Amino acid sequence: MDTAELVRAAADGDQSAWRELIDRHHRLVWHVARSHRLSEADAADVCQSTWIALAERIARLHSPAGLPGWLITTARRESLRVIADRARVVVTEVAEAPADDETWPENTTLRTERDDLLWRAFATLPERCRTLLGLVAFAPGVSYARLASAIGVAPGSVGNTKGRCLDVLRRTLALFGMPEEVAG
Amino acid sequence: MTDAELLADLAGMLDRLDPVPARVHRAAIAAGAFLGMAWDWLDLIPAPAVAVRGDARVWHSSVGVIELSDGVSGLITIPVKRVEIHSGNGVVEAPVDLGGGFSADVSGRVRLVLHRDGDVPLVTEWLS
Repeated sequence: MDTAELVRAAADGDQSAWRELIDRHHRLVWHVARSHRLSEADAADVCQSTWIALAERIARLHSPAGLPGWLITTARRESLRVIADRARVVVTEVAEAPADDETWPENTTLRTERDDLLWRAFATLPERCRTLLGLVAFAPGVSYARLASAIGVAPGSVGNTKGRCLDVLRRTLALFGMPEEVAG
Repeated sequence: MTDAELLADLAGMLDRLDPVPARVHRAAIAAGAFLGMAWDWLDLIPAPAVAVRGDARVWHSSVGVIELSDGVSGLITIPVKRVEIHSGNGVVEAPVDLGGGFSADVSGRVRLVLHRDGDVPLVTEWLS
């Protein structure tokens, strides 16, 4: 079933369709939350809020096929809410530097040399590129309008920005020694 | 390597580095528990609370009282077969005693489902 069919089936109470929607998209929602530099606990909160919002509104989604974009927008809004809540706590209590979360990717031991190269190259990209490429990696079909909103550029420039970001990533991979057939 | 293949590699790498915790996946599935089901909202009104230990929040409703502190507890004044407590860690069933009391060792954001005899369940909003 495609995304739109799964959305309609889940809205009618089909739990297997709901699970399939989650299996297809839970990495995307998690990535959106973590790309806001949220701790694992806060990212979990964002994910739960996002899926609850979907469960409550799934029957009223304007465009069931556009679910990935809806999830990006909702998870992003929830992430900003958590950040705002945390900022209020810091202002009213004791301002401390955020603890370094040992689960953040840069603090995780990489499993393979290829992953290591890819992560190192990805980490050198400007934040806008990391956000954009991360989103299209997990949701290849999401609309440029949604991506534009997520990274703060005009919809007409998303294609060019994505192309430039991929180009920089390939050149960086080549610099780091990734084989040419991979780096391009 | 095409752009699509490079992006797929990127997604795989990011997923291996920072995988979605199992409990987050479970919470997502639990969020869909009521899709397509018939149920009624249970309207809750926040009330002042004095915690025995730690923080506590209390809500009144037309069918009783719910308290959220270190765990979840409540007193229900209508006949209820069972109380389900949904959280990020799944669903816990809490027995209801003869006086309508129940409690469970569940923390974090929760949603309660009161299964009534001969009527659709009553469901609370997510409480935290």
